[in-house]
Amino acid sequence: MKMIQAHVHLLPKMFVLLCLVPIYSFASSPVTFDDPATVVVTPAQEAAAREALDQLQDRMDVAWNEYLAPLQEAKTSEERDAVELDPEKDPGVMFLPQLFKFTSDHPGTAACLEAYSQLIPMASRDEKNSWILDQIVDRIILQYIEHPDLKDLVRFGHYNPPSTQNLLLLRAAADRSPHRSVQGAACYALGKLLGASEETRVEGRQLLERVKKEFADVAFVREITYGEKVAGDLFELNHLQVGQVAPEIIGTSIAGNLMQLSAFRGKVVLLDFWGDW
Amino acid sequence: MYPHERSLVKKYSADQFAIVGVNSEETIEAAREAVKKNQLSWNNFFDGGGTDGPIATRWNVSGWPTTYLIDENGVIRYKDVRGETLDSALEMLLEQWKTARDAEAKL
Repeated sequence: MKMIQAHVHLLPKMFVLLCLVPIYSFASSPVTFDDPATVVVTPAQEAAAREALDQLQDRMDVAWNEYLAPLQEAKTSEERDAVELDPEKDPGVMFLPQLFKFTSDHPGTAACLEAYSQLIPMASRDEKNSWILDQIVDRIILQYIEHPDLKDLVRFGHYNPPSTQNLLLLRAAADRSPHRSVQGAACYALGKLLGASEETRVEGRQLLERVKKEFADVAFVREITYGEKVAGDLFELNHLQVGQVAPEIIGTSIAGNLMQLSAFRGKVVLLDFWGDW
Repeated sequence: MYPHERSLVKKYSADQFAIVGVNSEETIEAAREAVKKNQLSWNNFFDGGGTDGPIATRWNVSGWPTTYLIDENGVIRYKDVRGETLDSALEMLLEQWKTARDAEAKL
């Protein structure tokens, strides 16, 4: 029943979208679907889109704070583990239709591209929203493939599932963006996604090797470059896979003693990277 | 995670199973406090302070907790298994451990 409601809710929005697309392509003739990068957005349209997104963002922030309040209130990790959040009320699910409508209403704006960064993980969560993901990816490729800010969208692409649509988008950005920063970010995210599963590991490794060779100087986040980032990923792919001997760790214990991982050889070991935050 | 880990350490003998922590607290004082507060009886590396310490960086850790289940021969067998999956993976590896000990005893 819930699923049907969700679809009915989206239908009018889909209709709006279908009407919009032809108008949009005729409006700034000679723009065609083959030449989408020349779509002109006026400063007024950009400002309107920004305002609408800010308002929507404020509402989403409030909803997230409310939703996550029980976790904030939990005092110990045991209490946190015991919190059960209602997946039906998850803002990541609830706001999907509104955010999708926003992107349909403000095509070509920078604000819309920002919204797509949030929409992709939201639409990737449930197989039933696969048609929305199809639309989103088509529109991003159509409207933003030459946009420099596409980097912000593809940069964390490896945190989304390796769906056909997500892979298609990353491949398009890697191959067709005129910006090295976008190409490098897409190549990296694609390499991470493909490297994560055994069947596609070879291609994943090739892509990460390509990042190391061609995009090492491109900035990832803060002062970290893709060169530094990818060194860790290649080490993981080459030395930290199931079936490989764990690399040695030599360090200092919390008590202040010298300690090494290999001293535990002969026992089954659960190696746990943790922090109490 | 802590209660589950504590129960595993209690359940299995120290000669067959060990937890080795790598702690990414900002300071060693905070790390010691966290160990005390959560009653962690096992060995922990202190990774130099913060999440970009040398061990976490080399092991390419980008989320906490990240876990590896390593068998008696030092081979990585599972990554990031939790809950019941961790329990059954551990059972399996300890079964293998026992078979190896029995074989040694016969020699």
